[in-house]
Amino acid sequence: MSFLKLENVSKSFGNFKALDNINLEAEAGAFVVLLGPSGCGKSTLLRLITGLTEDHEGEIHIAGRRVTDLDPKDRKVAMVFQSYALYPHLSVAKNISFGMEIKRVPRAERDRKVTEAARALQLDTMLHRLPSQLSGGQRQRVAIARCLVREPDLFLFDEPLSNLDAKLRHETRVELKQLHQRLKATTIYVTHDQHEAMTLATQVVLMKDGEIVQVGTPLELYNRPANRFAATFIGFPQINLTPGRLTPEANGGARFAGAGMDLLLPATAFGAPVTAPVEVELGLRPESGSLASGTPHQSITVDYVEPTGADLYVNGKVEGRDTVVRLDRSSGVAPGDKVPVQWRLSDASIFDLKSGVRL
Amino acid sequence: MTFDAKFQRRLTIFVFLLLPVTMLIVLNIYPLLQLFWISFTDFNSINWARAKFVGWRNYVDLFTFDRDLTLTMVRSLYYLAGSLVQLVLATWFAVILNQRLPGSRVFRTILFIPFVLNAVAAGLIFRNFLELNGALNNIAQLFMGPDFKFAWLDSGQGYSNFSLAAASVWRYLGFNLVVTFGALQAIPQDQYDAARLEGANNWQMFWRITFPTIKLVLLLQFMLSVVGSLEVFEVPLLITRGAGETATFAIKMVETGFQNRRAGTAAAMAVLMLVIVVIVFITTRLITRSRNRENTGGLI
Repeated sequence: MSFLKLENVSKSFGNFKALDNINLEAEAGAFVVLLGPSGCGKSTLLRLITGLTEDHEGEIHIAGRRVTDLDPKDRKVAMVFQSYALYPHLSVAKNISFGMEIKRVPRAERDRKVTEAARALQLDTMLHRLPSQLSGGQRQRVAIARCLVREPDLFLFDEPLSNLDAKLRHETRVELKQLHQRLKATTIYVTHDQHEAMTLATQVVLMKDGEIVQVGTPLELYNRPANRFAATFIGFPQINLTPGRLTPEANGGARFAGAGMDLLLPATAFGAPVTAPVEVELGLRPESGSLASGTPHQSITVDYVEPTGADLYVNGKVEGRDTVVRLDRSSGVAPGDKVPVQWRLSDASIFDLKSGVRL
Repeated sequence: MTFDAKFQRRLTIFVFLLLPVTMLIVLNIYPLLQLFWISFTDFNSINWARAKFVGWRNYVDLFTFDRDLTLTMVRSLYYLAGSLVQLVLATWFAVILNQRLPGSRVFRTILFIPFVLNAVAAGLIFRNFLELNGALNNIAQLFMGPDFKFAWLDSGQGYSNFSLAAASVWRYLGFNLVVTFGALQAIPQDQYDAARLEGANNWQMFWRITFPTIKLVLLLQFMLSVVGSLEVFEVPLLITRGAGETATFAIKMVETGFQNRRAGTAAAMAVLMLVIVVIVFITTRLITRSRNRENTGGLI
C-alpha cells in the first residue's frame, strides 16, 4: 500500500482544465518532486493535496486514510509556502507554536516542541526575533520548524527556494536533503527548477499542461526521457536533437541517417524493436560527445565556448543546426574551429518525429 | 554671468521654496499667531482700534462665566460613541468585502458614496429620513401601528444627538471602510492558508492574523475620530441647525465669534480645541513610535 495515492484527480477552473486525470503513488519516506514549467498544474496539485483548493474530481489517500473530503487541518499535512507565510507580528517562537496554541496544547509541551524544532534547525538563538529581523534562509528554517512541530504525515513544499539567492539556494538545498535523510518524512516538493528536482528527489513527477508526462527516479528521467518534452526540459545545456530517418537492421538495432550522420544504433537504445522505416529525432546529451580520435560522427563549426571551470561547453553548428558538446577543459577549442566529435551511442534517445514519444 | 555649481544648487532650492514658504507664512502661520493674539483681547470682530489686551481672562471665563460654552464639548461623546460603532462596522464590512465575494466592488462603492456626497446633500437626505413624516417613521409604523410617530430630531432633547451621530456614522463609514480595506489587502493570502492548515477557524484568523496587522491603522482611525468628534459642525448644523441640545462646541464657537461678536472668547475656544487635538496626536505618536511602522502603510 503506497503512502500517498492520487486516483483520477482532475480540477478545472471554469473552462480551464488545470489538472487532467492525475494518478500518482508514492512510498513512505519518498521525496517526490513535482516538476514542470509554470502553469503546468503542479502547485494546483499540491494545494489539492492540502485541501486548500477544493471541489475536484478523484480521490486522495494519505497514509492509508481517504482524505478527499477532509478539512485541511484534519489531513495531517504541513506546508512550507513560497513566501514562507510567516506571521510578521509574531516572534519566531510564536510562529512555530501558532498551530499548537490554536489546538490548546499545554504550555510545557509547546515549549518543549519549540525548543526541539529550533535546535534541529539552528534557530535556538533567534526565538525572540520577528520575521522581519531574519534573513531569507532563516525565515525558511522557521517555516520548516513550524511544520516539524506538527508531526505531519506529509510535508509539502511550494517552490521554497525561489526567493533565495544562488549561494543560499545551494546551501538550503543541501540542508533540505540532510533533513529528509534524517527524518525520513514523506515529502512532496514543487519546483520548476530541474536542478532542484534532480538533486533532491527520490521520485520525480514531470508535468505539463495538467498531465503527468513521466514518473521515475531522477536518473531514469535523465537517461530515458519518455518523450521529447521530458528530454528537453531536463538537462542543461539542452539535449541535442537531430532529425533523420531510421531503418531497421538485422540484429534488432537500427540505422539512423541524418545531418551528415550514418549510425548503427544498438538494440538497447529502443524500447521495442524497430520494424519499419520511420522519421525520428535523435537525442544526444552534450556530455555524450567527445573529441573523435578515429572517424568522427559529426564535425562542429564552433560559434562560442563556455568554460565552466571543470569543462568546456562548445556551442556550434552542424549543417546549420545548433549543437552543444561538453569537452574536457584541456581540449583548447576556439571559435571558428571545426571540431570532430564522436558520440556515445548507448546514451542515445530516439523520439518519433511526429508524436515526440520515445521509441 | 555664470554661477558656480554650489551657488546654482542653492539658488534653485531657494526659488523652489519661495512660493510654498510664503504661502505657509501668509495662510497658516500668520493667522495662527493672530488667533493666539485675539484670544488675549476683547476684540469685537469689527473694530481693531477698540480691542484691549485682557490677559488670560477669556480662558478663565471658559471655565467659569462661559462654562456653558465649554460644556458643549460633552456632546462630542455622542459622536465618539458613534465613531466607535462606525469603526467596528467598517472593519466588519471590510473583512467581508475582502473575501472577494461576487459583488464586493458594488457594495464598496455603495458604502463609499455618502462620503463623497456633498455635505449639504447628505444632510438633507438624513433630515428627510428622520423627519416626523420621514422614511424611518414610515418604516417604524409597519411594526408599531399607524399612529407611531417619533421626533428623532427634537433639538430640545438630548437623545436627538444619537440621531445626529447615526447620520455621522452613515456619512463617514465609507472612509473607514476604504482605509481598513486597503490595510486588509496588504495581508497575503498565504498567511491565512498557513493558518487554515494549522487548524485556525475564521474567528481565530481574524484575532491572530488580521487584527494584529491592521491594529495600528485602526488606532490611527480612532484618533482621527476623537479629533473629528470634537470638531463636529456640519452634520448638526445642516440637520437641526445646531439648535438647543444639539449645539456642538464648534457651532458655539462660530456663534460666539460671528453672531455674538465676541471674537476674543471664540479665539480662546479655538485655541483650547487646538491644544486638545495636539495632545491627541502626540499621544498617537507616542503609542505608535515604539511599534512597527510598516503596518500602517506610512499613514502615521
